[in-house]
Amino acid sequence: MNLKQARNFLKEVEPFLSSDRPQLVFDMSQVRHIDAGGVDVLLQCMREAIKHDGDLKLASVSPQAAVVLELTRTGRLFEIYDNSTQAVKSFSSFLPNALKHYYPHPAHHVTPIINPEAFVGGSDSADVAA
Amino acid sequence: MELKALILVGAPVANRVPVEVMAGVPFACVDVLGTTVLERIAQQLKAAGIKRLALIRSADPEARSHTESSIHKAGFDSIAETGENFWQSAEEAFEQFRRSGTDLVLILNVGPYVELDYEEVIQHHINKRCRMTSVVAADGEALGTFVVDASRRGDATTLFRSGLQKVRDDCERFVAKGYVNLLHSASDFRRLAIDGLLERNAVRPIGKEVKPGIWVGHGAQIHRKARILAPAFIGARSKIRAASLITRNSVIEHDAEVDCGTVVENSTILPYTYVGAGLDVMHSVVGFRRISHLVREVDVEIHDEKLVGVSPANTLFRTLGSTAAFFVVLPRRVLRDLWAQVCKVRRVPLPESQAAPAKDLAVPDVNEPASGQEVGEFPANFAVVRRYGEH
Repeated sequence: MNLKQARNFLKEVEPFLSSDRPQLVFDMSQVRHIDAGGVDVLLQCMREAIKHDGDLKLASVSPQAAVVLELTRTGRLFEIYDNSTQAVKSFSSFLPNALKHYYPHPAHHVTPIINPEAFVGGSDSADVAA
Repeated sequence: MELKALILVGAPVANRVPVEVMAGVPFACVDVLGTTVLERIAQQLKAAGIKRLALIRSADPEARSHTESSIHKAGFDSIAETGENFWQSAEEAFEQFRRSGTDLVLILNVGPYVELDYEEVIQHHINKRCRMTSVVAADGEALGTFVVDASRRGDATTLFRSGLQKVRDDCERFVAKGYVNLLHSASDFRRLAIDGLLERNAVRPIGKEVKPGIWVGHGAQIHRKARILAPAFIGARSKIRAASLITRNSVIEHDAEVDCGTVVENSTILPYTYVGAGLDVMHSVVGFRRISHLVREVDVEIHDEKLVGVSPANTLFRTLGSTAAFFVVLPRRVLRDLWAQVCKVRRVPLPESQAAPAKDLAVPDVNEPASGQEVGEFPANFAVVRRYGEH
């Protein structure tokens, strides 16, 4: 993902980011190359999502992209999951008990694949991230 | 007795993991603590009394520019560049040696780094009165080093045609007792550098030990706000910018540059490599616009010059580049500061009514308990309302 591709991508994603409480998962399995422009766009998306009280998570990050995220110190800013299903499910993990009755989901445990040392406790990562 | 050495670099060895290269450059031609493995081996051979060295290398165009300087510094008498007919060139070089009256030929495939007493190997070969001696590791693996009688052309031909895999039955074996690094991967390359810093092998850093465990090459520029933790090596003419951190056996090779605020941990930055500002380089070998991550075991090509770039080898070009960058950055910076000042002037202060909280607004006293209710940890009239979804 270079600067030009990243800008086009940002235009496509913008309507979702500006919605109320956007909960987005970017499946990065097809991203083999990412440069500073691509990382910048990911950060912009994250910023916009947080501004609207939402969140952005990454899934299926390729080792190549993971190296660049680690290099640019941005890997620790995102919750990263093995696949998009886990990432989507993780959004409902943090519902209050009262609402879990209406949004049931199977018990699961997610483990970030990138930068596990950033999450103290390893397997307790979901709690820490919450 | 006349001795000559035939050194093979980038040989297409059969039945082996892909040839030990990074971006087409054999690890033997990449600098480790100031100089290449090839140069170090050439020095060892000359110290052992083998003055005539011939080099056969694969003519990979990408690798050629990177290996040129190290090969010239090593001082070979003849250099042959080959393409697909690598082993044929080796045979021809051997034949030339034979015709010129050489008695013994030392054949070295410079993939693995082996610390050998070459005099001992040759003495062993002479004492055993064998036609060929193969140097092997303690576990019996061949290390690509052979001593062959120049008169035994057939033995040499068999050896070359099999890609150094087959030897005749009566080949004598010499077990190498010194340090051995097969240099198969970036991890092996990194281990060689770490072992050198920790003095586990004979690879000594080319530079002055300015503090215990910190070696700095000639002309290296280290900013006073940069931090370097031992053991570390900073190569000649390299630049370490402000607020950067070099730690845990990290190696910055000559003419490399680490920009402001970057952390280099347990990594090697190869010569003429620029590492951008504010980055974390960990457990990697960085160079030739690539990052070889040792933990993730992945090789990533980086096209973004802001992250990893290549500095020109020529000092003049480098100076011109720096000057041009300065004249590009300076006006941009001035314009940005001016614009910031203009924006500051334009800012209109908020009216007092908006800046201060409304005086008329009655602020409920949350500490006062609601009538008829007990107060727990939170006041009874304290409520948190948060909407989830559209329901």
